[in-house]
Amino acid sequence: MTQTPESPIYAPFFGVMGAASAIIFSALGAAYGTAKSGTGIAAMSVMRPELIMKSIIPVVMAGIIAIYGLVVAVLIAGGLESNNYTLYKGFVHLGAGLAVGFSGLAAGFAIGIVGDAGVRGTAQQPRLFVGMILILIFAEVLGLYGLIVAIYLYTK
Amino acid sequence: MANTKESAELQVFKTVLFHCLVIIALPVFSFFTSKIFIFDGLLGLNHVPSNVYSAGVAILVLHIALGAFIYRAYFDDQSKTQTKRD
Repeated sequence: MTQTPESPIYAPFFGVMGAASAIIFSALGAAYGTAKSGTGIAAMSVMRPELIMKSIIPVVMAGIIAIYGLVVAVLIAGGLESNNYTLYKGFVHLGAGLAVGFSGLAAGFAIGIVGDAGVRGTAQQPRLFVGMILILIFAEVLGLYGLIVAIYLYTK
Repeated sequence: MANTKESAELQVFKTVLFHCLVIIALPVFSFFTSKIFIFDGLLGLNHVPSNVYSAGVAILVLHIALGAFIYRAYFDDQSKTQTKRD
């Protein structure tokens, strides 16, 4: 462990917090999305069990939000090192983790609310399905934007 | 009648299980294979670019798998309900 003003002893703290917050907040959003759209699926499929295959899609999309967080957390954890880890790198890694974490949280909330309402509506009107998929994709893309910013920050 | 209904349900379950496994496992698998074999082994890139490129490959594979699932869910169910109506 060599300490310089640029790489103090506490610099890895920020990087580790970045990796942790990337997966924590993405998993929070994904869990909310899964649970909220899962209640919708459970309520809907009592009457229309043949639509289960279609209505699983919000749950899968919520799971993908968690994979975004996982990718960034693995990237940051791979970039951590005990020697010559500068404070700048720590801040950049913290920023990358927070970017994908909070974007994933927001996208997970959106997927949960849209998935719940969309799945219940699809049982009444099957033509709503295309609209639900489009709205879900736009909600998913919010998490993807966070991932892109996080990877861009990580390469700095 | 009950037998055909059960086998159809089993078919749906198999399709969903297959796609879920693909969506969960394939990105992780492609991340590490593309990192170890292609970007580290074949091209000999540095630490950061190889990580970033393999993350990109994993995300790309993930979206292809998701697209395949949505395609399957949309078109399979439509043909099934149509045959049921006939």
